[in-house]
Amino acid sequence: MIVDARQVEGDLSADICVVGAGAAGIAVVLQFLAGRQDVLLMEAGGEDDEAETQALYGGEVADEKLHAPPVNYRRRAFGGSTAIWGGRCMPFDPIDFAQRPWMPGPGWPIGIEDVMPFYPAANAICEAGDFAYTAQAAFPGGMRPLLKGFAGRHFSDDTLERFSCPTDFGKRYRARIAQSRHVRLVLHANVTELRTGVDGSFVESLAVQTLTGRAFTVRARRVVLAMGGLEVPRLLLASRDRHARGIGNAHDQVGRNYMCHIAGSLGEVHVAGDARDHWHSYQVADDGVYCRRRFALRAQAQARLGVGNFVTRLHHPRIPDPAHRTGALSALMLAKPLISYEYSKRLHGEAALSLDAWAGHVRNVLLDPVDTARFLLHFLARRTLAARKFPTVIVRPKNGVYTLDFHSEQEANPQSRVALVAARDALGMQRIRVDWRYTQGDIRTVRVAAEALAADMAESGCARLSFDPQTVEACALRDGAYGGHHIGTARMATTAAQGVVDAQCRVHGIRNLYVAGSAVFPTSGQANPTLTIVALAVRLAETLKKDVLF
Amino acid sequence: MTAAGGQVLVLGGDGFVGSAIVAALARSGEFQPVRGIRRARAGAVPFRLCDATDPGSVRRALDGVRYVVNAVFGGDATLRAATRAVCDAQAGLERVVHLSTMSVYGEVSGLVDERAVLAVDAGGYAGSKVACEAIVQTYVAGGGAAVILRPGVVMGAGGQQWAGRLCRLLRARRLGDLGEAGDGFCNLIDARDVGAATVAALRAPEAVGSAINLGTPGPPRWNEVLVRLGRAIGAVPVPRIGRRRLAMEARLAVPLHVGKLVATRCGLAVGTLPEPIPPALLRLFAQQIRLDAGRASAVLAFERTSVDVTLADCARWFLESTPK
Repeated sequence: MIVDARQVEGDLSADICVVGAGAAGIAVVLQFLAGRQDVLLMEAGGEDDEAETQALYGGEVADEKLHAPPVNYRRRAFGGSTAIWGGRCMPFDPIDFAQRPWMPGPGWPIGIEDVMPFYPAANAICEAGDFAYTAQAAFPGGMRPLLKGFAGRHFSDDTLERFSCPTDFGKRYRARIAQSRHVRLVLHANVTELRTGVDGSFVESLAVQTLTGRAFTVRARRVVLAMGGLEVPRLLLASRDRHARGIGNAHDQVGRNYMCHIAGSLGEVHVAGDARDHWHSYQVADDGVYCRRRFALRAQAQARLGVGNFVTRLHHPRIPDPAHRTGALSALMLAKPLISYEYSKRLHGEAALSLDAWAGHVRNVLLDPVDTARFLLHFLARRTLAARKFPTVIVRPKNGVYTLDFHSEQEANPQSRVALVAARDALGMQRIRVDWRYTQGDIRTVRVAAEALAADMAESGCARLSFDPQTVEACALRDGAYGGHHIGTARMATTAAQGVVDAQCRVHGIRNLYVAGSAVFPTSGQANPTLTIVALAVRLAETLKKDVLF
Repeated sequence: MTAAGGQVLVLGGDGFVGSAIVAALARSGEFQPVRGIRRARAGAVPFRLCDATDPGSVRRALDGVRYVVNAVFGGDATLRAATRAVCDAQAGLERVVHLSTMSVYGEVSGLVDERAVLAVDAGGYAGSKVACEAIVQTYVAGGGAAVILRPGVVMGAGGQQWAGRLCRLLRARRLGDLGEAGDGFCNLIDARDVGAATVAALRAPEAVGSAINLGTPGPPRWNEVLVRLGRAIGAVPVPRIGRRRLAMEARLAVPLHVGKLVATRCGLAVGTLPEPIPPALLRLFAQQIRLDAGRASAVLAFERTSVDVTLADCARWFLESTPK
């Protein structure tokens, strides 16, 4: 059932109230469509984008070069940020859950075995096909090699990333929710405060407001916050009726250890052999899903080298520099004003392009009309118009020289944080300030991993990677924190002194309050977070189903 | 239980569902099936020539028969006439099993049990089946013993309506993973299970006078069925079919249907025209209806074929019978 908070008369009550209808919130309620529990799903936005609602996300950032404004890479509407995500899916690795003495922070209080049972369901919800993340499992008949002859001591090229359509959870699961007698989706319902009971040990009610001036209360036996890694700490910190520092924040943990990923491109990869000996593009599995190999730093190598998790892919040259002489890439550069902020960020480069550079891009297009037209037609047919979209721009460099596109773990750092500021939004709720910080440990992971890959390529004799170690930091920070991955701000830990939620995602000290989403991740790993967000959400739903109170 | 079996006339006994029922009756060891068919066709099971739409013909075919199963398939007039012919025959039948359909529930969603209101205003096939059920209910009200079975999607090897059509469209890459348009439940039931349910319906006294859904508890969604079938017949990679494409298919359905009729009339090769995908089929793919199979389990208690086995059988049959 779908209702609108602007038309709700009186207060609401339910067995379970889920706040936020994005990937996590929708994944939770999908487990209750035919259950016994009465579930409310509170969505701050409507079914479509609304500027006034989106503006409620506004806030400050310490450094805009390092982190996008909080209104970007997020969407306050039914479906949440799944309306703008790229669809890249991969599970966390076992080592992400292991105790790693060389990495800061307490790590996860649960093991991969606690999450693995829920990954296949998460894969299905994300529409990423089979839960098969190795070349052998996904392509029993064989998959094209990334680099023919590659055999790495440090890196494996056998693991895959799979791609969702990308699925907009709101559109995809609307019908299921609308027909459910057990789940009520309440649109335009902004939860602005959690009110706790007399001893502060449980959430008694939620304060809800609409932008049209309505206010009401929701009471639920269980409350799940699924609002994303920036809004979860915001609401916890803003709820101070009986917790002066905010709910779950007795030990000043809420909003700290904020992580994204360290990502960028670096170096030059000169590939030996002819074009048939390397393949950096996608292959479609039998289930119709786009899959792609990448180089993944092996767990043993991470331990031996004392670094975080790291993956990298062969990539086209940096687009802003017209020296690549590739018409397709220059066409993208010229189309930058037509591309959304989230997808055009990498087209910016460090500085504004000179007139000469723009002229260079025009020249590239004019001198490369056939390949440019072919690329644009492919883009139109396989991405713009396709129901399952070709995931990213893939262009084979004309000179056979690739760069490395890397995606690296960011380590937990208490100084990297999300906090409240005095400024308030239209509903009177305090806005956030994002002070994202990286460490030299983060940069070391990229540099050391790149050196290890260079050694693997040299030993394999299939390619040569060269890069200037002095430029690694600049490469890693060229585009700032990886957008949209908001991790760690209510992290999972055994004790309240180390984190915000326990191993069951329940807020320490609050017996009926849970968090779903990447806010609970104690580490960021190499993987994009959505698949694990959904897996943990399904796990949380199972926990709630077993709750003796029900 | 009723007294020991006897002869069972299966109207439509050479059709896909009718054949499965005949086979189940033959296997039962208790009932002796007789195919009620329009044209003589050899087979291990005896037949009686019978025009199911002709009351006189049906009455003659019922001579010495204790039970009738109405599995006639056809247009509105055929369905209504055959049902009337059986119910009006006054042949002293011990029991009639009438094969209806889940379509009688119309375009509702949620878990639907046999008490749900029927779509009395529905047109087309659903409307015909609702009308037929009304005839059977009148028969029951008049003292007749009848059981109405409402199967969902009857699949199995040899079934052109579902297995054959779906596999052909999958092979042509016109169906695949349909996203939200294929998120409805596929209330499939194996044709052999319809046969087993029919045998049970002839036996179980508590079944008389009622309707019983025939579906799979915890049914798969259509997308799962389509992707699995597609992979099983080698129609890979299974494509994602978007809403725009499906809307185009829906718009083309009537012209294609008309084109086929014209081509048939003119003696042209119909096979050159693409198979239409009716809008009603596309609506079914998205329909969030789950047949409540509880009553069937409780009253008929037949052993169900797993979805895995059904789909594997369909794929094997299609590959053997329809070369690329």
